[in-house]
Amino acid sequence: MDKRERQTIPDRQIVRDALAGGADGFARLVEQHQHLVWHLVYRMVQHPEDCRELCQDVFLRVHRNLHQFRFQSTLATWIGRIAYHVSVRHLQRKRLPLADAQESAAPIVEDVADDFDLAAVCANDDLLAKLHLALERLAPIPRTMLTLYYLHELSVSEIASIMEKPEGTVKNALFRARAQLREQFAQHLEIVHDKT
Amino acid sequence: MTKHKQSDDPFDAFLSHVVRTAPLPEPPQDMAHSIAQLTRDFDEDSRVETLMAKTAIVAVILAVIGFSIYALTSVEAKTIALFEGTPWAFIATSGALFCCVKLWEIGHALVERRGKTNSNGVAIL
Repeated sequence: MDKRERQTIPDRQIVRDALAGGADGFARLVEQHQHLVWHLVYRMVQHPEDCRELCQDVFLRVHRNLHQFRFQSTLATWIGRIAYHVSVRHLQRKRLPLADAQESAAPIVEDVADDFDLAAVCANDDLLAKLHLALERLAPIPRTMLTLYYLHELSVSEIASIMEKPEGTVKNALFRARAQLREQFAQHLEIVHDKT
Repeated sequence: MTKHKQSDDPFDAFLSHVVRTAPLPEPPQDMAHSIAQLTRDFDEDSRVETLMAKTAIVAVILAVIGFSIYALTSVEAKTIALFEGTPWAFIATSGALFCCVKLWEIGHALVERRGKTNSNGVAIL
């Protein structure tokens, strides 16, 4: 699952093979980018069946437009952008919110809960479950940003390129999502301290 | 927020652990092959559509030429004499070629529209 392990075939070669029309050329492209697309779409829509259909749609669009890819960005960013657009369109069609409506009013607790034993909290299943739930309850866009940033190790500029937003907006959204989760984390630590 | 800062902040390290361990289904095993199969079917359909479009274009060209020849041969000698010197064959061929070019442009525009992207290379949905 490591980013470097997945990107073994250079973009130009994989695009050339896929465009050559060989039986396995496009399958290799899908294999190389399916995790990014699947995780991005799943984090946006949070529904396995919709996710499967949307991923198919994404790769069909990639297949249809691959000849127009000009290597101005990485192939992963280009495919990610298509996946993001397809997911956004799906959520808009279902009239589901993309971002937290009260995003600007979110409390900033960036300076609390810094003094803790990392190994101990990582081993705390109850806390992990609570934060997993809190992560799932975030709005689709910040939830997806966190996944791209921490799981796929994409840079802020790559996420900005995928979501077609300014880097500052991405940084701000990541900061607020972190703050929301940190608040949950701080609340849990307070409960633990109160008990002890 | 940078990777450098992330490594300095223990909460960042913990959040990274939270995101990595969060329940997230993996893509289906057969996804790559089923999508590759879909694209093969799509290519096959496109090939058939292109072939049909080309056949239609050739049929139209032949019809135009045939009609021109028919019109030319059915004209009485008197009328021919009237129009003597007019390059009928040239006009008919030019008309057929013009139709051919126009149909080709329409067909090409349709294909382009099906796979159109914006200036950033993103498919127009």
